[in-house]
Amino acid sequence: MDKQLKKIIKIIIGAAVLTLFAFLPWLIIQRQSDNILEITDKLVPIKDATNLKEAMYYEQLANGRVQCNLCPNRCILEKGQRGICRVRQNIDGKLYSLVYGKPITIHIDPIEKKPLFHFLPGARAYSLATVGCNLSCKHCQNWDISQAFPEDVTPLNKTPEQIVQEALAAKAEVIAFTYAEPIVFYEYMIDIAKEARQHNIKTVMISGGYINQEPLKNLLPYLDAVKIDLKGFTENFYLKITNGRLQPVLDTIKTIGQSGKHLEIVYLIIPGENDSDEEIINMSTWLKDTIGEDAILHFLRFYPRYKMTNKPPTPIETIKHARDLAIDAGLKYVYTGNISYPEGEATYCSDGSVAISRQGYFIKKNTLTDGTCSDGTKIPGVWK
Amino acid sequence: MTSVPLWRLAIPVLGTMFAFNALILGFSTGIFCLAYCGPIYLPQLIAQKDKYKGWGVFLQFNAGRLMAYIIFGAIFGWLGTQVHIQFLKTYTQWIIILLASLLILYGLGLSLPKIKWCAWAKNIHFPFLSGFLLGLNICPPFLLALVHNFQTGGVINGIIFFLMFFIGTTIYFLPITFLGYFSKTAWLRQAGRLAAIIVGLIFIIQSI
Repeated sequence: MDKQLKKIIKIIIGAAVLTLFAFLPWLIIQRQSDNILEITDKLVPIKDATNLKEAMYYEQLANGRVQCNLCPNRCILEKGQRGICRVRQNIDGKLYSLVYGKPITIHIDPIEKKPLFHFLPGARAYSLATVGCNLSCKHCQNWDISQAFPEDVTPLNKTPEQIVQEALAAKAEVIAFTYAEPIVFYEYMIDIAKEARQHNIKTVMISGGYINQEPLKNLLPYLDAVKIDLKGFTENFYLKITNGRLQPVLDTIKTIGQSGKHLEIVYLIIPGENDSDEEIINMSTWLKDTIGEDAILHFLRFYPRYKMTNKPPTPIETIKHARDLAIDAGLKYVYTGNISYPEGEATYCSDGSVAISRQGYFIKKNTLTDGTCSDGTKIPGVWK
Repeated sequence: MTSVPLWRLAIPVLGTMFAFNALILGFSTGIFCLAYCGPIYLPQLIAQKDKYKGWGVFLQFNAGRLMAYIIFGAIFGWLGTQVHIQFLKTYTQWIIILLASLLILYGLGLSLPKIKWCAWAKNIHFPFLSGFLLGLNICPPFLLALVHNFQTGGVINGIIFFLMFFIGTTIYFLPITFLGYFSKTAWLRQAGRLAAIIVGLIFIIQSI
């Protein structure tokens, strides 16, 4: 009897252990399984292109594939596939924008927030963005929209005409394509810019500059100013941190510079990644050689965000030091941002007097007349 | 045109090699397949005395999965996006209940072979049947494969896609199959049968 009981106990314990062992992997992967289920809903390809805008700059390849030529990623897409940007999809052999007319966020900002310091100081900028980005920077400040799928959000649905009418109603002098990456909503941006021009509203693009030359040259006539985020000055930094390449961004800056459009450059300094003196000097020298000594450069302080929360905020002294290096390299208009440093936020005339003093996003004093100092110094920019 | 490093081109280009994609998808999600099939597969390895020490169960079970995948691949390659994902999720619940009920009968049939209504269950080539039904079960990795398959289109492409996905996922069943060596111990076989009944009950309770 004892032997029989022992055997039954052994069997029960064995069954319990076996059951637990059998379910163990299942218990471990439960959470990831939910993630997979969430992803699958997003991967179901859109088949109905009735309400979508056909993309510009793509070519049709064999077997229904297409190649997007908007940005240097040059994605080759099977039917149903989306580009790296998540917002351009091959539907039955044609490439469509999934975000045309679908902004996800709209705000009225001071133009200094972009930052554009030499472009209509104090202007109100009607600012909009859709989801999507063709880069995936580990330190992205707006990753919740830049790295989102169109299915993740409920867009506002606005035609280019509606955008311009709203900008007029808000008394905005400028429409800014900003926050995430306007290049991925290229078709929408260009239609808004065309409409805005008819109503004497200026347009600015705030971008990472990761775009091919042909679409860039086609876009520039419709824009009044561009701010480019030059995220680093080595190919290694771009590959490691942004999932892109440096050279196309340099080409973009060069082309905008040659076009005569107003251009400002932002360089976000990340401790240990792009903050070496050598890199700052090389970048500043390149800007001076390419754009000239009037090139406008902003050094911004990094704050830990997205996948780069392991880094501390940039020391304030590093930002000030970078500004000194750029000025020493021959640039005349070098600013600091994301720190409280009035000296680094002001624009100066040749005699050293303050032309425009700023605090944060606001103008404290502006002594310029049509962009000219009282000593006759002509400050580059768009002033009216 | 600016030059593009090969590794950058490789990402979208891989999309053209859908069979390779399916294999990679199988490799990358196979652990999930094992996690979902494991509770059904493991008790069988141990519950029945297999003269091939578990490898007979492995072959039968995966032959069942393969058949289900081929049928699925053909149907979904043909239907494409006409299939509603929500419908698939609902129908999966019923497959699991059926499978769990059969697993309980299988465990009982092996333990109580003298009871007629249980005995038949041990003669239905349960490893094959359970593999087939699990193959029809829409688990998360399978759903992912299905959605990818929407993009390939066509019956043949669908079959090839799921065949490659099957190969990728089956690798993960190999190491666990060595547990079949325990089936030569009588009390462990009994424990395996009891585990089959417990697992069946857990699945039924969870599905309801």
